[in-house]
Amino acid sequence: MRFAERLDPLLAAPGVLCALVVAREDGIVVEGTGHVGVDTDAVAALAASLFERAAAAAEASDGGTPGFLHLEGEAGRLCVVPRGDLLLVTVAEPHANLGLLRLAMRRQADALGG
Amino acid sequence: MFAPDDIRRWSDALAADPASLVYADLAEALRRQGDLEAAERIARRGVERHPLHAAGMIVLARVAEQRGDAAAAALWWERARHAEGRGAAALAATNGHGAPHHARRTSGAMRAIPRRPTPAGPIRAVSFRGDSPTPTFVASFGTPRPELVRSLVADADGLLLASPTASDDLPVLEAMAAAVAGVGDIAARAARHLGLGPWRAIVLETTGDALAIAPASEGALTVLSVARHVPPGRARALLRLAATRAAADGF
Repeated sequence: MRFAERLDPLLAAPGVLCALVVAREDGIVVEGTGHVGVDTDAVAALAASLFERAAAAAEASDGGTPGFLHLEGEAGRLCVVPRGDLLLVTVAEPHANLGLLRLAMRRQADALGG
Repeated sequence: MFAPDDIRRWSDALAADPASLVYADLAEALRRQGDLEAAERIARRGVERHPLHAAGMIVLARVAEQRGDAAAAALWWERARHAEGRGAAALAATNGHGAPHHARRTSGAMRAIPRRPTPAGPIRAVSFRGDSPTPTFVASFGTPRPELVRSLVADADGLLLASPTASDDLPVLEAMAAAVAGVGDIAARAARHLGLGPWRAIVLETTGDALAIAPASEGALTVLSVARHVPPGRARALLRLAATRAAADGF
C-alpha cells in the first residue's frame, strides 16, 4: 500500500510510537499503526485540530503555507506535516531525534504527493 | 447620570442580544457604582466582540485608573484612540441597527478621549490581573533581536497583554493574540490525552515566518513570529528564552 510504505520507515525510527496518515479536514485516520496503548483515533483528531488552529494563527501573523508542526511535551512529542488534503502525524518519545524525525517526515510527505 | 433602572434595562438588552453595544453603557454604570469587577468583565467581553468599539476601551481605561494601574489605563486609552478613527465608521453602521441612542452617546464618549501621554516607542507590558504595573516584557526580553518579527503575550481570552513590538503594529499584534486563543487549550488536551505530559512548546514552520507558542500563567501564551530564514532549532531556543523571561515578568 502506498501509505503504508510511507509510514513503515517512520515507525522504524527509534522512539516513534505511532505514525499515521490523517484526513486534514476531519481528523480521521486514513492509514497507520501505533504501539500498543496508543489511541490512534485520538492522535488523528487532536493532531488535525491543533494543526488547523495553529495554521490559522500563523496566517494572522503573515505566515505562509504551513509546514512542519511540533508540539513538545515533557514526556513526548507530536509532529505533523501537511501534504495536500492529508496530514502525516507521528507521536514520539522525548528522547527521539527530532531533527531526524523532521527530515524523515518531510521526505515521506513529499513522497505522498498532494 | 444614569437612571435607577438603567442597569436593569441594559442588562436585559444585553441578555437579549449579547452583541449589543449597550454593554459599554452597562459597564460604565457598574463602574460608577463601584463594581469594578463586573464592569471590567462586561467591558472586556464587549471589546473582545467589538474590537473597534472605543467606548468599551474607555470603560476599561477608567477601571484601570480606579485600581491604580496606570500602565493598563495608558494602554486602554491608547487603544481607544487607535480604535476611534476606525471605529467611527463601524459605529455609524450600527445606527441603522436598533441602537441609535447608544450610538450617539458612544460617539460623544469617543470625542471625550483625553490626550494622554503616549508611551514612546514600544508598547509597555501590562498586567490586568494586579494592582500595580508588571515589569515590562521588552525590558526583560532584552535587546531587539533581528530574528524576531513579532513577539507578544496574549491572555486566555485572546487579548493582547504585552509586546515589545512597536505600537504601530498593534492591529497585527491584536490579530495574532486573538488567533492564538484556544491553541493552548487544544495543545494541553492533546498532550494530556496522548500522554505527552505538560506541553512546553508549539513550533509551526511555514513558507513565511514561523510561529512559536509556549504556555504562560493563567492560560496566557507567549507567542513569537520568527523570521523565515531562522533555523527551527533557533526558533525553539528563542521561544524558551522568551517564555522564561515572560514568566519572570509575571506572565
